[in-house]
Amino acid sequence: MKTNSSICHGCSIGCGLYLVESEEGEKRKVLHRTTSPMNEGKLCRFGTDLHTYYERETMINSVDGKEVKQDEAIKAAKESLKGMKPEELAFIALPGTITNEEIVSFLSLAAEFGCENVSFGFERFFGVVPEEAAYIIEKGLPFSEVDGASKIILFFLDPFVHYPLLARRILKAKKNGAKVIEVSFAKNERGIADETVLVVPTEVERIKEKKELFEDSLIIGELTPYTNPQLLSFMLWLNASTASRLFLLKPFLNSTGAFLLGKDSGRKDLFEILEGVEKGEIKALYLLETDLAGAMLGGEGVAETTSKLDLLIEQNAFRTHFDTAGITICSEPFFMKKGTVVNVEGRVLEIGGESEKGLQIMESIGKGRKYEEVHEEAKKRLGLGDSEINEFEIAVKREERKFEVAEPKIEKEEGGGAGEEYFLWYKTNPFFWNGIRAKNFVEISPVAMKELGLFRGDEVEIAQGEQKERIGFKISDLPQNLVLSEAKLAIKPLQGLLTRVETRRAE
Amino acid sequence: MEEVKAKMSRYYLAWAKDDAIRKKGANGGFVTATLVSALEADFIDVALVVKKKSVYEGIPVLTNDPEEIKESSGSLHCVPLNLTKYVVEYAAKKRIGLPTKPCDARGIIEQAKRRQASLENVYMIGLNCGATLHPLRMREIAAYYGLDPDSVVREEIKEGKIFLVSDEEGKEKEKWMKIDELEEKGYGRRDACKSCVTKIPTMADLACGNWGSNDEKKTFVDVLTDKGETLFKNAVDSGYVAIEEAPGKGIETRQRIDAGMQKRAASWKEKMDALKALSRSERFEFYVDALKNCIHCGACKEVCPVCACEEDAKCTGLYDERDSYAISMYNLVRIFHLMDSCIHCGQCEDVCPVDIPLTLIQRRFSERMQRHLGYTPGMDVTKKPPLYETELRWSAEAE
Amino acid sequence: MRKRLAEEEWEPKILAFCCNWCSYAGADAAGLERRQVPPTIRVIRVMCSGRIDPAFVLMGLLEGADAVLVTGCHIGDCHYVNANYKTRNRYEFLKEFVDELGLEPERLWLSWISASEGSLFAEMVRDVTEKIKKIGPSPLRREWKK
Ligand SMILES: Cc1cc2nc3c(=O)[nH]c(=O)nc-3n(C[C@H](O)[C@H](O)[C@H](O)COP(=O)(O)OP(=O)(O)OC[C@H]3O[C@@H](n4cnc5c(N)ncnc54)[C@H](O)[C@@H]3O)c2cc1C
Ligand code: SF4
Ligand code: SF4
Ligand code: SF4
Ligand code: FES
Repeated sequence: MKTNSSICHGCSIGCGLYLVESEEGEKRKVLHRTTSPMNEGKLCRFGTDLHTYYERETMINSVDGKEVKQDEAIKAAKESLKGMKPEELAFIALPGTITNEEIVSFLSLAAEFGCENVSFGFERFFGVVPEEAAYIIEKGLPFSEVDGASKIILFFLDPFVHYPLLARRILKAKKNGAKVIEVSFAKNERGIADETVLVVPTEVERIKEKKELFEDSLIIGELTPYTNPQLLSFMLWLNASTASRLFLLKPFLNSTGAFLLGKDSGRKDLFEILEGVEKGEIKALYLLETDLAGAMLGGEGVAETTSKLDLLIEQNAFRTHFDTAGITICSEPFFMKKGTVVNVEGRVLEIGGESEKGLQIMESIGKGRKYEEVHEEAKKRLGLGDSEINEFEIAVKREERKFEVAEPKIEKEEGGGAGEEYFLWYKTNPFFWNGIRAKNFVEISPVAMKELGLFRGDEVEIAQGEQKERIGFKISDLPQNLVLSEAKLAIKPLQGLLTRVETRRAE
Repeated sequence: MEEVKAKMSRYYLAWAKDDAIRKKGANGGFVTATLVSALEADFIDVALVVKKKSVYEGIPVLTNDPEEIKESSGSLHCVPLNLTKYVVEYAAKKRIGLPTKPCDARGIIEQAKRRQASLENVYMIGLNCGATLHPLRMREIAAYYGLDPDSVVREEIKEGKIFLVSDEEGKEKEKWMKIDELEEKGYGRRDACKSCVTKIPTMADLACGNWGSNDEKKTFVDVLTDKGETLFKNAVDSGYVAIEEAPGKGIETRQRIDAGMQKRAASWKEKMDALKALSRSERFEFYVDALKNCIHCGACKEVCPVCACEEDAKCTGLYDERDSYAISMYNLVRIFHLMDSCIHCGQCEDVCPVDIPLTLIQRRFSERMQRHLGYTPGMDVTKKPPLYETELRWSAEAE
Repeated sequence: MRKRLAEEEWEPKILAFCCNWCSYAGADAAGLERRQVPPTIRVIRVMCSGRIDPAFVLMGLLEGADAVLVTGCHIGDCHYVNANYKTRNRYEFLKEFVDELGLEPERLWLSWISASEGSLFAEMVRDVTEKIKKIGPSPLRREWKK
């Protein structure tokens, strides 16, 4: 039995835990690590089951579908990358399981091939955020700030679902006398808020009328690749025009690391890259520990798009949802890694493993530096100085600054089909981004159940144009025309906050 | 070499003969020396001990390396760990020796009743237990003492006080305060420990502690079972452990402290029972309100030392995420199933990500049932959990 | 909410688990003989009262039953050796459970009814219905805002 300290990679909180292994390294189990300050020994369901995600099928080393030795796959990757024009290349890494050291190495690899199309999933927001406000999307806040807040606004965020380990901090704040206000399409089913500002899907703009509610508050929201940029500018505007602070949680563990380390590099938005692939402008893709088809909504579409590539290189510890990759290179699972990440609070955390494999793969394709060198560079660029890494310290601090943003407009929903009109609201959770379909149902209102003629055990069909999904349902206290989904459906969200969908009883 | 008398008396003071073990041990290293000698004499295949990572942190280690056992000596009061599931999952087929706080021993006995472990194979060296603290609460105490939590190098609990020693740039600083005083200010032991009335592990094979000992480096040992006697004799005969008979005064002192602790625990229990003064319908509201926060992570079931179910259990199997019940089947079934068997160890609450007061809830439901049944779980492996019985025998008190 | 329901002429829902050999036959007889069995009753037949997992009772309550009746053969008459002793045992647990949870004790009943005791069954249902009418709907019952 071996007990190793580790970090959960389920979301940007980075809960501490132990992975216990039997001698043979086979039977793994998660043990709660009471000493970790992020989570005090508690874990959400993703963390509790973390060991099972390490039991997935591992990636093979392959070239053109043939299994090869790792060296050969690496060599093939190097050769093929050399053969491409820089503008035809793109590098993507959703920073869920990658260390600061790997990010440094990844960026220099891209630079070495002259590639400026690097995405960590959040580039679409760069245009929306003024330079002085960049710190808000880059860095979060220590949880102690939540504990001590006197007014908390949950901005379209259900802490129990999105970030369960945040929920207890909000409950704690409430015990300390905080007032909790939620701004949402539906009332929180657990009643965590003292007050609800219920937003009608077609009238999101009207939140502006409630601006004074945001005075002296801590606004907590979420930033994911799918966050509507207009919603982000809305949050920034609320923040800028009231005395408040804005705390954005992110789904990927090392989002903060990726933001800070990738600051001065050539970047391109994830969705633009995919468009470029679609148009044939981008011909080669290097995916670092990113199961794009597993993570994105409407994953099948993503797989279809990437099949148009001349070259797809995947570096991953586990098999992904793609089976079209030209070159696959097997790296180590997250818990085995040597390296650091920065969580949303700004704590620098050590993963706890020994392996440098993933880093070495990139270094073999590129410059070939040692771990220490890359580690030092990461520390320097994060501004960490020489002090020892201590999980109890908020090493990456943020400073509040004043900034201005223009009053944003939220565009009205367009499109939608005939038939009954419903709005689909994705409620993301830690399972969402890890290629796992956590739920097999959507939530609808009791009125909708009646209107659609549904009975217990029935399924609903949700459709948006060509895209369709058949799925079970649950009754919740929701506005009549809202369909809430924690499941990843084959329906891509439209530009709006919500997606207009047709909903009917599945025959 | 001391001879263990043919007919053993029950109480001894004992310590490791090896100076290094004696010095490093909490109270003379008896426990450590006994484990090492049991391994050497082939009574056990492995030992399960708690290895120190820092003052605040210890991890369970399953080992057959005497050096590792020696490295793991000493008491860690900030490690609120229950060892039961490690015995079940990693050493079910092995002969194992381990230190057990009362809740460890009780968990193991409940698992044995459910055929997940065989007591024949498990040597339980009981440790008296006044309490454990959550490590982060201990850090808060350090800060309250005016010490830098990161530089605390030693902690000790004795005579009802918590001692912390910090080493700030080579200078040692010691601070202490009475537990009672700390707890009045909201610092202190885990809630489950505060209200735990089982302080001496009489259900284990040996019960060890400093209560009743007249020397910090001698452990007071209570030999409780034949297995305990075997272990003890072997430790002495093999030359690992030195003993003397416990003085009568020590025996009395130990009893007196134990009784005092039990009384304090009982009064904490009263004090912490937020439901005591509530009416029936208020109680209902309380339960619905507390349990609605559950995110069904399953951690409480996973860590519960008396639950022997695999992943597919009744509580998980009957829970359907699509149900919109006022309280979930998962919670109701779990509470119901533990009515006869909950040992009030608080492990579930320690891991609950939304801080549901699970110890209190489980205790409210189980304690009244256990009282009616005159049944205390985890004490006697021959007593079947009453829920499995065909006919109930009610306690005299309930009649 | 409970008040509003009462205003709407709420009728109690009573769930009875009946064993195939005795109490179900009893319930059946009660129906056949056209005794006054109130329409509040919903019967679930099980082969033996020993099959009534306490979880079934809990689920019945969560599904909105205002009371649950656990019924079976008289002690000594169970067709599966001694299974109804176990039923009695589980009932004792359930009783404590329901009480601690904050439900009224009237929401849970245990009764032994033989095949020939149809009238007893009818009487029991009438009796329970009356009692439940007095205490009102179960707080576990969830009503949705329309
Ligand atoms: C949390 C705790 C509270 C205690 N409270 C009291 C008390 O109030 N009164 C009293 O008389 N005695 C108490 N003891 C027992 C006492 O501290 C000594 O452990 C005992 O006297 C044996 O001393 P030793 O030198 O022989 O043990 P050692 O040779 O030092 O061996 C101690 C063994 O305990 C293991 N251990 C350490 N921490 C833990 C833990 N948290 N959980 C499980 N195992 C652990 C170690 O791995 C080691 O194997 C307590 C012990 C613990 C661990
Ligand atoms: S997914 Fe996030 S909240 Fe859940 S255990 Fe992992 S890091 Fe913690
Ligand atoms: S239910 Fe909780 S308190 Fe009771 S035995 Fe299980 S873990 Fe311990
Ligand atoms: S630990 Fe808490 S949140 Fe998780 S299942 Fe148990 S009660 Fe629910
Ligand atoms: S057969 Fe009727 S109770 Fe068992």
